[in-house]
Amino acid sequence: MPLGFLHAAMLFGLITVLIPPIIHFLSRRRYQVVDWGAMQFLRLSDRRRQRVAFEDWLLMLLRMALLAVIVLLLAAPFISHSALARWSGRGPRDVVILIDGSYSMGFRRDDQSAHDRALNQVRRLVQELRPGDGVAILQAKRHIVPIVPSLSTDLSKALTALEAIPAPSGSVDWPHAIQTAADILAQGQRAERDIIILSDGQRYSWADDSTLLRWELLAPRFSQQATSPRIWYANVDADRPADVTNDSLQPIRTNRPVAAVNREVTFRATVTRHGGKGDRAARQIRVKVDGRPAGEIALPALGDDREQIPISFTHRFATPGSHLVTLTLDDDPLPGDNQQHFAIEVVRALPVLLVDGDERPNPPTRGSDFLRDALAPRRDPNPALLVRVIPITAFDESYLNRDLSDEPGTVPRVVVLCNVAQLSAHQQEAIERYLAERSGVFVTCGSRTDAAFFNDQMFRNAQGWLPARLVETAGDEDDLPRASRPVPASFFHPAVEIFRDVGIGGLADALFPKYWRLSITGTNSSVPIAMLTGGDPFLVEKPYQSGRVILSAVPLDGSWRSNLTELPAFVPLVHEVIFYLAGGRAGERNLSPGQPLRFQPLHDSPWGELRLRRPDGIESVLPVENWPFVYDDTHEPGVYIVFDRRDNPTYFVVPTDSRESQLAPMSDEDRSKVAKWLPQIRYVTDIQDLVAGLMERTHNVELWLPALLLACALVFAEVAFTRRLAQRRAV
Amino acid sequence: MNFDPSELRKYGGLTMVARTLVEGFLTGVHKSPYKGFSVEFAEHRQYYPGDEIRHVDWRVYGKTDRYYVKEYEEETNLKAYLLIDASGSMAYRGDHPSKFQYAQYVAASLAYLMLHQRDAVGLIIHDTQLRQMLPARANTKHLLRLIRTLENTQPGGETALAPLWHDLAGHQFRRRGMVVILSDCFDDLDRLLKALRHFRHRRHEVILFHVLAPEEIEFPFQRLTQFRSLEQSRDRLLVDPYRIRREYLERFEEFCRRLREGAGQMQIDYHRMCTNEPVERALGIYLSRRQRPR
Repeated sequence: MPLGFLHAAMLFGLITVLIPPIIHFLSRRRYQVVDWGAMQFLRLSDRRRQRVAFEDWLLMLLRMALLAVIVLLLAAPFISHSALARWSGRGPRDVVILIDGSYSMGFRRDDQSAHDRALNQVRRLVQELRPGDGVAILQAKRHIVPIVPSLSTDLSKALTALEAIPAPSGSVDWPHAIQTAADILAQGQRAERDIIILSDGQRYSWADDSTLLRWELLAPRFSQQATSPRIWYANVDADRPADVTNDSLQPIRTNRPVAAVNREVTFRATVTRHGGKGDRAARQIRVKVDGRPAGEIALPALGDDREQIPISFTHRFATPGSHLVTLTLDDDPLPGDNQQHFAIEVVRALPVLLVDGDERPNPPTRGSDFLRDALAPRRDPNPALLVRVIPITAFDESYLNRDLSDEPGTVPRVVVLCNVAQLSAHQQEAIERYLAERSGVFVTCGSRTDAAFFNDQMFRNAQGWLPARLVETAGDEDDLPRASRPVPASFFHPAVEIFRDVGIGGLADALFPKYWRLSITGTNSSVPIAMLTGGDPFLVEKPYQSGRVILSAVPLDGSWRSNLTELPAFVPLVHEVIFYLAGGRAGERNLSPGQPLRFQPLHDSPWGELRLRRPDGIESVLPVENWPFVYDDTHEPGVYIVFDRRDNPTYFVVPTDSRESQLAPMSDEDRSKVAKWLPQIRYVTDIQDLVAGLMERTHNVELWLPALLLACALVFAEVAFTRRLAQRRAV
Repeated sequence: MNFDPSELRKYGGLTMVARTLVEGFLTGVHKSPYKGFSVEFAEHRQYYPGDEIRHVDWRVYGKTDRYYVKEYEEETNLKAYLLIDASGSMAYRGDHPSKFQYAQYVAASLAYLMLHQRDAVGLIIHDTQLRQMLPARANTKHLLRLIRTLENTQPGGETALAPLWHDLAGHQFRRRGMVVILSDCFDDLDRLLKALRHFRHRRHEVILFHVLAPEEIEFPFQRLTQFRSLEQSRDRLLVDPYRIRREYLERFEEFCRRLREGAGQMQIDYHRMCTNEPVERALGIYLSRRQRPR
């Protein structure tokens, strides 16, 4: 008959039983001294002395026992044994109900979603509970949405709170939800504890490999608890077909996370077709930009199962600012995966700072002129990029923090170091701080480049921000026949993937008779994004802190007899590379669930308040104490809109986890895998079985009443005994 | 307000204490019932009708033309011994003078009074052993010796009164007289009573002043207390006074009751003297005893 404690940590309080003996022995050390004559009357008889000692010890033991029983009472003791069920009856219990809040619960069948079924069953369960039972109700998503956040005995209030439950969205983190439920139960006072999960039997997020690993990590915590709660998994949509037909829209991608006004931007997405045999009807995808229709994409009627259908569309944004692109698929039984959003920043012209390695203040021509003309041709009245060229000697940190033109918001997004020899210590520190702010740096190597300096100060054995080590110059600029060329087969990177198609004047036609041989040996994060025919890298990328750096093995300035600057591919190449580097900041707009939202107004704005609209449509006015404004409750997928003082919207998107669309149910093998780590789990498909299980006679009998009676008896005994001694003294 | 002899002692020693106490006491009594007509002239006083004619001093009448009566001190052959217990236990002092100091005041006052009465007074100071002994004398110079002896004695040593008292009764006090005992009597009670019986056997008048401190009678201690014996330095007892008070008081009262009853059976005047009581009480007791026909 094992004895357990609901709050075992309270047992540390047993140390208080030492208080009476400590007080006793301390008081024995503090006494007054009296020189006395009548000693013969102080000498008690042996019997009397024994009695006094016995009374002393008895009183001390009474007090120790009283403290011990109070501590035990606080630790909530119980005994559990199957034999106790015969006479114990169905004791009071604490129940935490977890309702699956992932969007798979929105799957509709027979005009009712799994979410609706779950709510009906929760209402029935709450009605089956008895007065005195404690209940908490949580909606399980990636985070926990509290409905009845702590154990409450007010069952009608719990039912009322259920009406305000949010619609299912996003995915669910079951181990986190169960841990939260166990934590709530640990606060309760009942020995009988149940966690009831109402879900749709989906394998994903319950028994997939990643979740199984987390169950394994969670299991020891449960085994350490004295009263591990029973876990019930009720499949509220047990009759759902195993092979459900469903189309799922995957997150939107683009080659230009930052776009220029009136420039074409290509968006890509994928539709994944789950389940179903045979042909499917053609479907439409509606495109919206900033909530206004911007076209439709027809999805072909295909017969293959589980096909990935790539889609793409282009758009030109007429105005600068924050824009929202939304793709919506026709309605189907699972609406949660029919929509994806993408937040894009559109600028009038992307500000770029070219730092030329030529130290002369005003030379007639510069090597960087090629890049300047490619990025912002002088004849173009509305160039996509705003370029400013400065010599290396003039470059300091102030250029990285101030606008390149009179227009606000033109702080350089990318810095290009064109064939510079060295950087001063201040310049290097400025670049490092610049990269920490999600900016981009493009470095081209040429005749001026001081390899030893680059390797020692900027590469620093792969610890610095330079992506690769400069080994030596390779080739001979007079030996054109043996010049290296870029290898199109290596162009998988977003910045160069458009050059994979080999055409006349394409990047594959570029000749590099001489180039810097780059080595990425010893580096973990550097990736060659384009290779040369000799096997050496052409472009190497390294993410550094929050920014991106691309290193070019050639100067891109027409020197070394390369023909690249004469090819039609040159302008697209530098545009792609520069826009890719500028896209580091796009991660600020398209967030992962839980990633804090950071908002910095374009114009200087006083602190105060700003308005935020959440995906659920709730708007709130939030105080701003300093910029950037940070909001971290971004667990809910969807669109977050921040309105500045002029009511200009800035969009932030938390994409929907499309894996939740995998509606495949868990198998018996999956159940046994989970049961290995959660042996106390019981699966039910009929709510009646769950109700019957909850009504089972209890095996755990709480001992608070006997402990309380014992404590009262000890208090009474202590008081009576002390009173008796006091009366005897009063004689 | 009680007169505190210890205050007076600061200024004039035990002699001053004794004289002040006794004269104050006698002033209160006003007329000594013991003034008689004997051989030794004491004083003249005015004649009142009823006085015997033969006591009128005619010589004075001749000179002053007034009737004066001659008074004479009564002669006595009473020998009184003051037995003072100077054992360690007599050194106990609570909020009042120690028992020994109190005994000193009583003894000095009695000696003063006795000598004033023309009684011969002897002094024995003892603990287990005889420490000081002054034979009984009746002259006034003897008072000075008595008081000096009292002043120069400090209490100490163990209490074993009975053997010494036996010795005194058997060998020292040969002539019948009065024995005034000042002691806390903290000794074996049976042996003590037997020794007192020895005094009575020798036909001595015995007044037993049982000198006690109020703390010994009431046992008012509340905190945990270590009682250290005044007689044996190693004898220590750490007790919770609350826990033993009842038994202490029972035993103490039983001791006092047996002592009182034992003394009563032997026709010994037993008087419990508490150190917070006025010393004059002892003088009254003595005088009433002295007045009683022997």
